[in-house]
Amino acid sequence: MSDNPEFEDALVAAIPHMRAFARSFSSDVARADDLVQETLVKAWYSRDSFAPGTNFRAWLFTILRNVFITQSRKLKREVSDPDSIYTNSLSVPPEQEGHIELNEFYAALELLPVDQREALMLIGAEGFSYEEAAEICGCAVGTIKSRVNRARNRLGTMLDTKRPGPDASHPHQRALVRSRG
Amino acid sequence: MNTVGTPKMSATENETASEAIAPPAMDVVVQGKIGQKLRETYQQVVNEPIPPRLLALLDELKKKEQIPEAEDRS
Repeated sequence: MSDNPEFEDALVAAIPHMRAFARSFSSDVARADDLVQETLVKAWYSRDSFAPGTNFRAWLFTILRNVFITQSRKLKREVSDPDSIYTNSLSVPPEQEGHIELNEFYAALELLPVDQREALMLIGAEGFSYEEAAEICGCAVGTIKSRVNRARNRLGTMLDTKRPGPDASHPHQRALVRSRG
Repeated sequence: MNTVGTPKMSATENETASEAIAPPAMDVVVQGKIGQKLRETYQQVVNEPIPPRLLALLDELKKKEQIPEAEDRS
């Protein structure tokens, strides 16, 4: 894959997935795309370090994840409130008829700790094996399993206990309203 | 669509006590719904067109390396 056109094609093909994975780290589209952008640069210049025959997407996701970690460390030094990385990014596209249910799910996802959301995305959405996900996240397979389980359970509780009614009673809805202002 | 998290073979097989008293598995229906919504959410982003700025970036990276070469691709 050291051949430029071939590498470039593979890279372009992976962009939609990188963008989706990047949303685990920020629901703000522009910010998530910034992560992808920096990942593309890093991947481009370190393409010789990709081992042919291994999972290209996993390689890219590992870089993307490192980009995120580096950025949030920087932010933590600059911003006194590290949580603002997430709270500020709580912007959900305007609700459209028929999409409300998906938005609610999205909102529930946002309430998960980032490590759980990330694990859930890798396993449940992107379809990586537990082993691959563990490698991407640099942790044990058991850790990934437990993060995924906790994420599923929390989502299950959030979505199950949610009853039709005044949405303002839902803590996350309040967060959303606040973030719109 | 492969199922994630292979279920335990059988509860009688070398299961520890902690395994036996583990909380009951989440409702299968709820779990299925979560999986479906998760993939839906993810796929929605995957299906979005690639932002031009990302493609432009790749072009720029390419140009930087092939400086003297005439561009035959846009």
